[in-house]
Amino acid sequence: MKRRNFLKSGLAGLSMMGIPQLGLKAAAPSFSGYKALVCIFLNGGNDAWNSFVPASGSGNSQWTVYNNGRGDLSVANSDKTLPSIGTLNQGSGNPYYDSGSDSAAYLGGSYPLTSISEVKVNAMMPELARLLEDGKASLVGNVGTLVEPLGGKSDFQNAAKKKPSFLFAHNHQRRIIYTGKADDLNTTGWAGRLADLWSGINNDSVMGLNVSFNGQVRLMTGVNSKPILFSPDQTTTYWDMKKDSDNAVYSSRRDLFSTLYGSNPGSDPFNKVYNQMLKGSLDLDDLLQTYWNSDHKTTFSSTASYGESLFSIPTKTQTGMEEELNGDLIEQLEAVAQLIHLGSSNSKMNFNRQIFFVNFGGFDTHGNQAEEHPILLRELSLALWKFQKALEEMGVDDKVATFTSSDFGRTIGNNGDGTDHAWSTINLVMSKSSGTTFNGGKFYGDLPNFTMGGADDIRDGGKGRFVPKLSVEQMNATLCSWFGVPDTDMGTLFPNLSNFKSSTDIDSAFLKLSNTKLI
Amino acid sequence: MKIIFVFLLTILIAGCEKNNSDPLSDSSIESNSGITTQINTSQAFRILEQATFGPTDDDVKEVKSLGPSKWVEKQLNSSSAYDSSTDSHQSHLQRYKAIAKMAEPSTYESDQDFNNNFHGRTSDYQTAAWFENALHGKDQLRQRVALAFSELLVISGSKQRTRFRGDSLASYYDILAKNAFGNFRILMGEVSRSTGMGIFLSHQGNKKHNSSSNTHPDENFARELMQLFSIGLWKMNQDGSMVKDSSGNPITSYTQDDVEELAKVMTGYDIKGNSKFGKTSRANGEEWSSPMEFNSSHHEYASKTFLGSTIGTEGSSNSEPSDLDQALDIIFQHQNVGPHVGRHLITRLVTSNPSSAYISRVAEKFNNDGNGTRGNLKEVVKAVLLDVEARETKYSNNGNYGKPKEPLLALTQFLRAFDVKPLDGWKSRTNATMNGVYQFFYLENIIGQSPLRSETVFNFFSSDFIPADSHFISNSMVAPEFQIQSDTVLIKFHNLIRSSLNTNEKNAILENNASLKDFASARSHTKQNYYINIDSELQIFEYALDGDTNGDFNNINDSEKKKAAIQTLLQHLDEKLMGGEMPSDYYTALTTHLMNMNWGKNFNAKEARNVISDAIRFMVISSFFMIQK
Repeated sequence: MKRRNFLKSGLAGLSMMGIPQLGLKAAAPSFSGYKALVCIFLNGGNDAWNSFVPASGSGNSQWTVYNNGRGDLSVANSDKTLPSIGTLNQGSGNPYYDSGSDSAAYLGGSYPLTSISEVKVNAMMPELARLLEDGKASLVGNVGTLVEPLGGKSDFQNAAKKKPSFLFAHNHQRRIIYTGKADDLNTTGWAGRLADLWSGINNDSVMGLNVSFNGQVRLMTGVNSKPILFSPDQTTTYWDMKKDSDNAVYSSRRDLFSTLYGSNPGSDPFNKVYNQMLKGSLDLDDLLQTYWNSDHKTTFSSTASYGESLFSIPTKTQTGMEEELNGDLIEQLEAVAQLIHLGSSNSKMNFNRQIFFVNFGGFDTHGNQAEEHPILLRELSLALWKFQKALEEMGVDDKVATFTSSDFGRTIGNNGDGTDHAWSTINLVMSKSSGTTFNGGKFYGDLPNFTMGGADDIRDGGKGRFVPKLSVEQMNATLCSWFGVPDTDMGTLFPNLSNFKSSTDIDSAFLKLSNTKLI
Repeated sequence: MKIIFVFLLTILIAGCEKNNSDPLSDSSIESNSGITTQINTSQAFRILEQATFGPTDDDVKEVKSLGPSKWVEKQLNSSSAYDSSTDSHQSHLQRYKAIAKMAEPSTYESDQDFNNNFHGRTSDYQTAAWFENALHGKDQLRQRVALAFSELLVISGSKQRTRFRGDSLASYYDILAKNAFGNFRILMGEVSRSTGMGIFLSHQGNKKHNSSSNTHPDENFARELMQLFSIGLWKMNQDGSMVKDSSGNPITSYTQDDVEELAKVMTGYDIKGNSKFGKTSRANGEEWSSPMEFNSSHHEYASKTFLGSTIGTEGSSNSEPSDLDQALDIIFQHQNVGPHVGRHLITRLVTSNPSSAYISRVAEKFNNDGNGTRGNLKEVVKAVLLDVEARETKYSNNGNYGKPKEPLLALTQFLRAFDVKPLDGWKSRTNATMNGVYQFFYLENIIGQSPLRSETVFNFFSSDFIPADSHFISNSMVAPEFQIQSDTVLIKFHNLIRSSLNTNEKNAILENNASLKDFASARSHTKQNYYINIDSELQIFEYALDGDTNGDFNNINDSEKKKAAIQTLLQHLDEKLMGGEMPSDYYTALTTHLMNMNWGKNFNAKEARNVISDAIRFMVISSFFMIQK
């Protein structure tokens, strides 16, 4: 038989842009203890302005301006009463309920907050409002992709000022959020670079630093590192090839499998990558066969909003809505909670640092926003609550910081039944409220001037696409600093961060409120 | 006796082709024009991996006898479902309707019933029709190109309203298949007006600016039409490289203003038969498999300027103005379209990292087919497949050449290799008996892909995905298909191949059931309903083992004879699945394992079946099968 003889020649090699000089496999610092970052990506561009409604009061008469621009799609300036969570009345007893119409409930009003005056929380999200009230979450507002600080419309229109690549395009905005460098679409992801820096972390486990629920996401792809790919129904295992089985044919299959993925006689680059993927899939399967089972997973005794079991997905009878929830985010976060249980336990996987990426889709509400957004927001609120409760029950809530991210925000202007791509948005951070460095219950940043075509819009006659005042890197760097990334490595993860310093130290670029860091 | 003779002959011929004294050695193939006439099995196999849903014995023979360019010509000119609406060659929509009527006879009696009913699993009927075409259609290249276009001009039934009206998905697919060898401009027009696209990218029900409610037209379709479907983000040269300005920076090909202006064109279109502009009930007479209709009261008639051209104001009337066609003409004429479409087809069919010269040659054909026509897809497809870079081994032998197979295509290749057929007698969701119809249930949750089921408009994988590997990174090489090969997908794909061989295989079925029908009748629509057979493998293996095919596998407990028979089996499977390219260490490792599979002497046939099943399974999940060169 013939063999393919592959000439190992390079194409005209283009050097990688922006890859920092890494030594031959940097070593992970020796951490004691455990920390995790959980990124919830709201895929499609979440409309922040209906999620966190601009408020009037305390000198912020933003609601009127927002309402002028948003028209029929604005949330009413009507305060709802925030109940305590865990005993929510179901159906028509829900605090947002309005004649059983999801869109009426969604546009019906919001919960005012005690220590945040800038915004109120959309009525569909009582759990999220409660988390903010309890100091377990903070908001980061008027944040988006930036290369350097921009002062609104005039800076945006100034050709000398550097701007992010390909604003308003989904895949490119996601990419620059992932690369951590808003003018570089092509480099690795910041969490991948961190995995490269911390090579060998977690006792050199096949699980590594990064776990993605959304495929080979660029965020977690480094030069030598890629994420473990996980899905909620991770019951899947290679049939007939279980490790350490008495069955001789099973062991024989395993031997065959490892010979096959070890074979690349022509040194073909594609075969090499694929073989690594095969090997990784079996190694991970073996690891999970050991731990991902009822002997090692935990059960949660806490109940959630309607008294349902913690990660149960409430039905439309319970939520009082026309449509059922998707359930995707709740399922992913349940799996993350279990992985954190396994990772943080000294007697189980005994890891030190993990980053999880979960993806919650459907936010590109160009049309049918009033019907679709409430379903998403309801689930986001429930999921955050359930997840935080699980962490509290396990006693690891001080070890985990959860945060949202999204392609971009959406226009103030509406297109009849939805909104279009914009820029500045509001993100959320969640962690334990007290006995930690987390400064919960706060609003970091300043809202834009919501006037369409006004000083913060990208142009005169604009539809309300606002230039952010904070960069996503500032938020992510603040989280990474808590996570254990030293100041000296911040430039590797976030090369443009120094553009946001207010003094000589890089930590002057971190998010602070009256000198108190976000986390 | 005759059968044995034929098999003997087949084995001898197969044996000859494996020797180095192959009369069709590589050196006799090359010619200056790059167009080969006589080719060997491996070369025939390659073009079939590029241009069909998986090589079969018959197809390999045909390619060898015609040569690549005549074979491609034959495919380009073969008859299709679109030659006549009344002949027996049916379109995706026609088959969709026939399947739906069989599955739900009391819901779907007349054609009108399709516009008055909906539910979330109608999309299964579209999947079934797709598999009929992929697995058995004679117009393989047309269907392959349609799939490639479905990954460029993306709509999806995944978590979308279109899944409730599977007829919108089937009719959309017909647009792609019908125009696959037609003109790209026509394709753009039909896609823009289709209900499936209108729903997916929300220009269905799009309204002009309303000053009192302060609403503006939805930009979604306008943006993706330019960004993804036609011109991309950067201005390109014919070879796909970026045009640079005087400071060496790339130039964007459109602006936010262009998007907003183009959005004004995409106004006034809605589903035919709709009772309220902009809203849908998914039923009530709405024609989701028809093109959208035009409603003048919601259209923006004022002039629009985008991409440097102006479309003038037209008087408002009840008939559709020409601005959509003018807008599509403007986009169609953009210099980027040739390289954008050309590169996409190359990467879906041939190789992930084409040279700029290859892209340029294909784009050239798009720009002018040789007879002054722009956008002639027949010529473009021919250029993609017959280019030297697609055909000559001096290119394909380079390690940087080639691509990972899409999981969906790896699956169809496997199924075609083992004579897949629909399972007769399974039960639909209304308990009707299904004959001659496939069911592939939630395939996207198993192998990460199913036709028209990507998560977003960005397709299943990103066209610029670079895996975390120093060779790929330092050479800026992409491998998009690797992006969805998660650990879960790899495991599930393996398990699907295994269950196809051990549960859905004819001989395995008959070990445990009185008949195929008995097996089928216990299966509902929530199962994968198809079956393959390894009859020829059983015969080849037994003949090598015993010198007969009486089914007793008598010598299987004789190590020497079993080992020799395994060699014959592996050579046969190598030809069938890898075009004869399997490396020697695979042979060694497979033989070792297959020799370890021993059932007692009362289970010879079962042992033989399992030996063959394991051989196939591990070959199919190996890199030599999954990577296409």
